[in-house]
Amino acid sequence: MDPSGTLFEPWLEEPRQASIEHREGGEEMKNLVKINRERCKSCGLCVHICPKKILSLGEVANSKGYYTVEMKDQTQCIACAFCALICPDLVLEVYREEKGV
Amino acid sequence: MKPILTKTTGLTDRHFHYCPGCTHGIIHRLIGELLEEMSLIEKTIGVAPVGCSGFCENYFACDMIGAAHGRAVAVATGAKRARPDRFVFTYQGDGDGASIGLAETISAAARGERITSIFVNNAIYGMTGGQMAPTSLVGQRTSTSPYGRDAETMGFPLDLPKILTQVEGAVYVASVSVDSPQGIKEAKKALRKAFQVQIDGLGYSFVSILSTCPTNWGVNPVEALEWLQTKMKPCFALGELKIPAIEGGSKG
Amino acid sequence: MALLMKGNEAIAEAAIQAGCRLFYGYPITPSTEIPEYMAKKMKAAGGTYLQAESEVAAIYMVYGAGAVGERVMTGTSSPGFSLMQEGLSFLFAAEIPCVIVDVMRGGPGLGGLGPTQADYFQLTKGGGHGDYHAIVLAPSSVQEMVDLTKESFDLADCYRNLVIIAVDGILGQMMEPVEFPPYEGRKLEPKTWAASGAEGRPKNNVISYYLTPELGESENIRWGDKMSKIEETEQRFVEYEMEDADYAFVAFGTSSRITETAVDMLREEGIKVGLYRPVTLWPFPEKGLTARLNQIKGWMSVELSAGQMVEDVKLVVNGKVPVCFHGRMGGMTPEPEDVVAAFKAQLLEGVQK
Repeated sequence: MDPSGTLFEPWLEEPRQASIEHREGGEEMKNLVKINRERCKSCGLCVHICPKKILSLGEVANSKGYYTVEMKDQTQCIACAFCALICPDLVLEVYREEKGV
Repeated sequence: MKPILTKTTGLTDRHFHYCPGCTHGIIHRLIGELLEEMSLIEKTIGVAPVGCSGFCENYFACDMIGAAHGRAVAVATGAKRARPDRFVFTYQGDGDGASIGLAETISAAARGERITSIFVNNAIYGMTGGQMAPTSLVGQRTSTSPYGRDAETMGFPLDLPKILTQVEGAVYVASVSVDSPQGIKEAKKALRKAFQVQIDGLGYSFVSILSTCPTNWGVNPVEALEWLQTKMKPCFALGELKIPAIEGGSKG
Repeated sequence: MALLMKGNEAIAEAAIQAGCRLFYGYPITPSTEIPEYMAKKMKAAGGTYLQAESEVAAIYMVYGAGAVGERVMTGTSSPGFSLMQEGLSFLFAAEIPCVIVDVMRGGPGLGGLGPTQADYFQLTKGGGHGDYHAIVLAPSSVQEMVDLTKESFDLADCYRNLVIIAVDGILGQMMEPVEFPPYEGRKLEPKTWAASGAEGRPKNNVISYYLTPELGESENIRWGDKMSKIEETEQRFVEYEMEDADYAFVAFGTSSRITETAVDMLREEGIKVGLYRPVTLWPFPEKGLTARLNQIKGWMSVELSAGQMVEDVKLVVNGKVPVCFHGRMGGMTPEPEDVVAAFKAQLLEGVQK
């Protein structure tokens, strides 16, 4: 894992064909946002709405040429799901840690 | 992990063709979620309009009929009277529902048709490239009102849900806006109530949803949400404008 | 036992007996008895009558009901039929079976209430946009209206195509004895394509557009093949005194009944004429007409219009012999004597049109 906590390949590498990516990590990881990159159109609504400001438009394009959303810091995510609510393209799925699991 | 917001079976896997930031996608998701949550998918017949959402038969997981421009409510009437046991909804833009289809919308409401109409108001004609709609605001520049809508010669925007509150057969009329997470949650609540009104056989239900069109408004998606919040919302009645009398609500 | 029934009502009764349980219509003279009969009888038959807010709405209600796989009908007259044209084009493209009745009246414009046959072009060439055809049936008696209406639903379901029953105002209004013999229908496929609710099957879309010219062409070719099949198998006509005829009239509906009398009158004078009566206006029954081409020395089309079907007769005759026309317009009907006189003037005295 690189220092920013992402699994993204550097933009010079070929974008992955598989569209689903998600973050998994260490003990501090509580909640989870899955990103379906192929559906993303770079509209920026989720970036704008996230109250923790942990989403951003990245530097890796999907097969349609859109620079897709990236999770900058999953550990800060409060699973409010505002991003998934406002996303018009079903890009984001949000999961919350279950207590006691 | 507990899913908070995940994919719904009420929608197919097709990627949406809509412009980046267009709120059609949000509304589609709400409808898909409700069809799944209320176990309606197999019983539903949806009617698609002509407009940007004229291809929505590819996105909803239920049976769909594509109507001619403005006639979705008539098609839905025909379908519902043929199969009263089915759940029938129409999905229309502002031209489809309030211009060419205005007579059909009001007449179906007057007849109390047991169907649900979802009316997507973005104050413009999107698919054909940004012409003035009956819901366009005074002063709004469109390709057919290039100097701004002039009330003197082009009249005023039509507030269709407000008109429908005066029609006795329309028992649930709501006007919502998907410009914020809060608004989206309220929109889903309104849609759920509208669907339930049909299931309970009470009469015609109608939900108007204020929406954006970043491409034809000439702004980016975030600016479009702001234009919707600051310029559009003040022009249209908002909220549950009419609820069924048996709920203890007034007639409108 | 025969009943005395008005044409419009007989059509409605025949539709109910054919299993139609949905009627969406709008009143317009001289077809109003159809919705009125349906309003009275549909509920008892377990069906639904709904008065639409306009003919435009009515045709799309038909579209919706047909799309979910139910037998459905509407009825109207010429100006209302004009309003339905976009709907007809859509019904064809979406391949929705349905039956539409057009009781023709004086036009153009608001016109008059008298009988005409001046919707012929709209009916057969397609008043709506695009390459399409409705199957058009042209009864000429109340009994034939019953028989053809019963069959029309089978035709519609069999081909997944709209069927139009075209009558003039006289036929719609006249009363004649009529019987309703039991009707044995065609064997029909279940409507697995219908958008009736995706219970236990993949979803269906009933749509009428195509996104690429390539698909557009292949769809149009497929529909064209369907039209060819209908042309091959469904042409219908009735011949009167054609066996030894030297000359022939072509007429349908009310004008055919008048022309029959003209044939009798001419035969009494020793002139050998016959009547070729199309029963399908589309497909135009050219096969039967072609079979008589070597025999007939001149044709006359008799219509309640400025002359519309005569063009199709000319196409089939293809310049072989003279094709003439006699007609009245605006709701007027010719007397048999007028038809006889026109025939003599145009065909016998060598005056060619």
